[in-house]
Amino acid sequence: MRTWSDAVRRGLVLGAVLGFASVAHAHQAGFHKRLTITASKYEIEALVVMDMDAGERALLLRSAADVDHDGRLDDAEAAALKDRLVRMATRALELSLGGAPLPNTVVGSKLSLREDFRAADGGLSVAVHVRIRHPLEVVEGMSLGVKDTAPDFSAIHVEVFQSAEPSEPASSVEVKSGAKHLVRLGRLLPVVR
Amino acid sequence: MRGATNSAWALVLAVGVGAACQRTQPPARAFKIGSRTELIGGKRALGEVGDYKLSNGLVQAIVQDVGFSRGFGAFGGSLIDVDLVRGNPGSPTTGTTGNDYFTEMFPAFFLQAIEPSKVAVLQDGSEGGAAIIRVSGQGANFLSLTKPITSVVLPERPLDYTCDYVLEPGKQYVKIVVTLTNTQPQPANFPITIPFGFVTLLGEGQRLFVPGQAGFDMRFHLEESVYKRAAAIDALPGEVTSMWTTEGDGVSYALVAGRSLDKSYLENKPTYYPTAKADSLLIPIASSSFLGTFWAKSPTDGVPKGGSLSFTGYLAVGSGDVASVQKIAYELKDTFVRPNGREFLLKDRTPHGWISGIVREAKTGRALAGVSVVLKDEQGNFQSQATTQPGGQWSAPVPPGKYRAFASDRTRSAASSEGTAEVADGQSARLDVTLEEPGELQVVVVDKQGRPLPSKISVEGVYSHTGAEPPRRFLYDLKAGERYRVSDLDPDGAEPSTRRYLERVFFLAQGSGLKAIRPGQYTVYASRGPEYSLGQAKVTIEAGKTSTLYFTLEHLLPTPGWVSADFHVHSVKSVDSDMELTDRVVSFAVEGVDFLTATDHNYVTDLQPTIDALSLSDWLRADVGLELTSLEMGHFNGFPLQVNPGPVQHGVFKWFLSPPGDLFAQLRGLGKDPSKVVVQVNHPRDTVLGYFNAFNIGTYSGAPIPPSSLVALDTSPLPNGEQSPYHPDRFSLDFEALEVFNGKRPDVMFNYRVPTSPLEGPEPNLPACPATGPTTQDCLPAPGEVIERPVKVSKAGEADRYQLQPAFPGAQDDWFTLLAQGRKITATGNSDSHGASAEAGLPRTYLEVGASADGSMRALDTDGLYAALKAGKAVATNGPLIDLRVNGEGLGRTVVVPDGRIEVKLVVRAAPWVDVTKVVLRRGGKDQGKAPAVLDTFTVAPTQALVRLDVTKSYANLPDGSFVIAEVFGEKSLWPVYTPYEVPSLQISDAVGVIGGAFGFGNTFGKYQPQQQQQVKPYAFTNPIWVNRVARQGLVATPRVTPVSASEPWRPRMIPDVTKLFQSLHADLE
Repeated sequence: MRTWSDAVRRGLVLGAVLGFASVAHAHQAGFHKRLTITASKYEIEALVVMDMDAGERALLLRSAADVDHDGRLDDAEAAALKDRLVRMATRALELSLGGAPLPNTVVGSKLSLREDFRAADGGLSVAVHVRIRHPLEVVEGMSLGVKDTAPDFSAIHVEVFQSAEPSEPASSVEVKSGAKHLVRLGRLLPVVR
Repeated sequence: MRGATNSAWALVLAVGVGAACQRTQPPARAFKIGSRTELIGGKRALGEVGDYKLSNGLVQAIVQDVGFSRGFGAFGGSLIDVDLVRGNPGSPTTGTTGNDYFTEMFPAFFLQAIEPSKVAVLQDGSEGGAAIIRVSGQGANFLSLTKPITSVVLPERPLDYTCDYVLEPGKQYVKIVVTLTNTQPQPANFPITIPFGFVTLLGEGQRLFVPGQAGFDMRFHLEESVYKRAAAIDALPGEVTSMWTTEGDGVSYALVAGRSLDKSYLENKPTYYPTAKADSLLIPIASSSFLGTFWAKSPTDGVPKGGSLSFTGYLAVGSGDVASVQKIAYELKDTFVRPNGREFLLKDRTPHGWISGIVREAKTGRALAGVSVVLKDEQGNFQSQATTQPGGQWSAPVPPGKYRAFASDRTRSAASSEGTAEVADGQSARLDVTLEEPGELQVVVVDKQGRPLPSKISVEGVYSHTGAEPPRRFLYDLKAGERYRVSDLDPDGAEPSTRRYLERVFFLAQGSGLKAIRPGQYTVYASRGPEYSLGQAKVTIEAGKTSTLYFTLEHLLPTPGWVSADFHVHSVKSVDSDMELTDRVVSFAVEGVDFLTATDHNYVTDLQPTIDALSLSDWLRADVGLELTSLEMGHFNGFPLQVNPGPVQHGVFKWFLSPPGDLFAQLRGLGKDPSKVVVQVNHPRDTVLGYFNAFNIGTYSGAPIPPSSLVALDTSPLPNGEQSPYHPDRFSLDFEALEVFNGKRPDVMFNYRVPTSPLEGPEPNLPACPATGPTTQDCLPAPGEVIERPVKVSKAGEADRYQLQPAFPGAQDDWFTLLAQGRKITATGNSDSHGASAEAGLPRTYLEVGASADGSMRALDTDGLYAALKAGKAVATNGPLIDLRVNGEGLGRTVVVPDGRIEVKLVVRAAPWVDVTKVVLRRGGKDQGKAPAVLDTFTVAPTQALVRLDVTKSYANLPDGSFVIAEVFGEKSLWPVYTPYEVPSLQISDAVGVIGGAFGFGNTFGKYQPQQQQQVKPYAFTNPIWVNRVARQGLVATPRVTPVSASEPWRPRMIPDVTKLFQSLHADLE
């Protein structure tokens, strides 16, 4: 005869098994977004890197890209996945100068499937290179505004470097999703390429 | 049913547990440190919150974030802390209690390093593989002195570098992969083949062991063997070995090389490196905590646009002896998958066997722990070292061969195994060693009132060997790890008094103590510095027995109103000192020093709590200070300062590329009261460590002059357009004190003169100087004269003008010039002691403080002490005491004598064991020429009397703006109280010289150069008494003070190039 205590006991054992299993296989899952921004006299460059851990989200994205359902991502499917991830990575990115919004001009993007081309739960990474020519004359004391949101609303690591004379401190902070981070700009110099 | 159901659940549970237990190996992790509990900790720990950490449950390591280096280097991004994972509990405020004994390591491309623009986690290890931290940046000189060389041998446009620190699960080593990439639009060519590798700063406390002929003695092996071998411009001189390792207290390290895809720097050069293998290392320099290790090389055909090359090293971590880390290095096997999919063997397992044994004590049969055992093969190569465990056991891995074991510790004669043992790969053998039983020496020292006296005990022995060989060839074996024993540096003759050495020196903090001593016959001395008598007694130490001696020391030379002080002191808080705080404090108490400032390298230390804890507060007082240690600009002390307990170095600020005036102002900003801070320039003429050498200050002008050598500091503008901090315009005299008398180094105190006795060494190819001295060419003057060089000071378009400059200038002559210009800078004498062999308070500075100097040091008026220092009421001495008065006024004062006539009273006192032969009175001023004129010379007859000279004499016609000083000289060595400077360390300048020699840079004057190795002989000098004919009000300039923020933000010189960062990322699709 089953009793409540039997059910509890089974539940505890099952929980213990799952607990061990989860301990055995668990790791932090989600998005990890990093922005590296350089500000110089005539332009702003940004490198947006978004890593996605292996797991359910990665499985959903890879599976959605596997249009022919063969369990593998061919070049066209990977390209479509990349486009989707680039939009995901840059959709919420807002850069502003002196309060005026700046257009995000994507000049390049890369996708890393971590050498795993299956439509499975392997992790992913996308990198987006953004370059913006200043529409305004940058005056010392203006603020560069950075606002972004990660797909899972996790914090974003933002680094801002300035090519300035005298040299300005580098800014490296964890910014909450949706929060605006302001960096005071110094006397910017042009970047020599 | 229930039984079956329960069995099923149990099975599920067991499977679940089994699944969890399969992964018993902890993962590797890489992350940015967010809490002090994540730091490593230890004596050499430099990690801070914000740096990056690797850990895999076995080994943990910290890579510094971008910014300036917290170690001895220039840039951030270095590996700064490495230790085994010890599982000690951590605290959010104090951090953790690990055992990091590793200072710093960074990749070197010959004489360039990476100036990082970014440090980031590349792989955090969460997916089960390796954890990786990547440092990226461009090449930059970490020594601007080397720019003339690097500008020739490296490509014109900077290359991009990445350094990946890789930690794999289950591995007890950090793999370091360095990649050089040419992102320039044209190929990067290297005019000659240059080596790539690593610069490592190990720090004192890690004893370097290099398998091969060197063993534990790389210092003399390099000087006497390696540097004498053939070298070429693309085959630098250096020791060829399979690895370097260390022995330390609870942790040890080893570096091995991965094979190069192309040939290594050492391969295919049998003339220069006949023993080199594919994974051999080249060590051109190993000293002063600085170790250069190279194996890879620049590509012969250059690096094409977009091309790259990599090299790999492995840093293993052991538990304290060489054997524990060698076993990891020998078992290391690693492969690299090329782009074409084929495997390349980076590192293969090294064939080796094992030798083990027990060390016991003779007669008692007791097993001995803590004994060092070194293994030497039949070819004379030292291959391994192990430390015996409790139970006396030891074991060590060795390459196949036949070996003998040598055991040594501090208190017994070294011994070797009776026979030898032979091992093949995978086999083991046994060797046991028996050490003699030590004796014990018990000593009690009191003063005349019978009170216990802090004092130093020196145990002197006499060896029987005669001849020219240095004691390290017969008295002890440095290569086998035996401890160094200082000798008297007298030429060994038939007289036993010429063959003396110190078997042991120990301190009695409270006047009594007991020490184990090697059996033998000795003379034991008790001393307490130059104010006290010297006790002496003979003793025979027998194995297993205790001998007791009693001494009474008399305070012969009280100094009412004066304190003795040492303003340059190092402890374990400096990377190049291993002296614990308790030993450091006691070392001063036993030498009779009253006051000291703690001045560790880039570390703010407070010794007063240690003094209080040892109940020495009546004898000794300490204040907080710092030695701001730059790589090339010089070393500067600041005191009294405040301790900032938060940051790991307690308040040190960024010094790299800051001009000296800014550094002085910031030092004052660290002070408890910035207006009272004293800034002291240390050893201003000590090679690359000297401020006056850095700015090429003219001895007779006190101002920068053009350098006479191609190898000089870089004065060109910085990449951001700012003026170089080494530009002559940046030289600053905004300091209060100049350390004229540093330790046992009269060679950097006095201008070098041609010796009267012949020297050994190469003859310079120079003509004799004309009677008027050199004019436009180098020449050799007569014995007794200063060697001078003509330096061209005229600018382009002007007629040629030359200024004479001593070839080897001394700090005292610089100081005389500054005094003649009316600059009231106080000269000090300090020990710069880093350990017991550099005696505390040798020399020291006596200061006229007043009544608070008498009695307990608890009552010392430190404000008065610093005021006395700034006022120049100071005598620098290593023994004799000088009391100089002019018209009744003491040191630092000004007398006004309209008729130019003065009355001088000069009294010189010395303890009987301090020799005084000559006293010189000098007068300087604006008219002094090259040096102050000699007013008078007094010859002192040999005597044991305390007062060696007491004279009152008048002098006339002193010009306005004169100053008077006195000097005291002695001829006999101060042995055994003060030991000779017997083993000078190789300096960074020696390393540059070795490498520069391969490029044709040599020493013009051959054998005529200052000798560092010398006995310590009595010397003292006073600060000046000023003599004016007209009363005048002195101008007092307010020193500049710059407040320093506790967390100064990093201002990068070069910002990352986002385009290059993007290009460097791996992509499966672009």
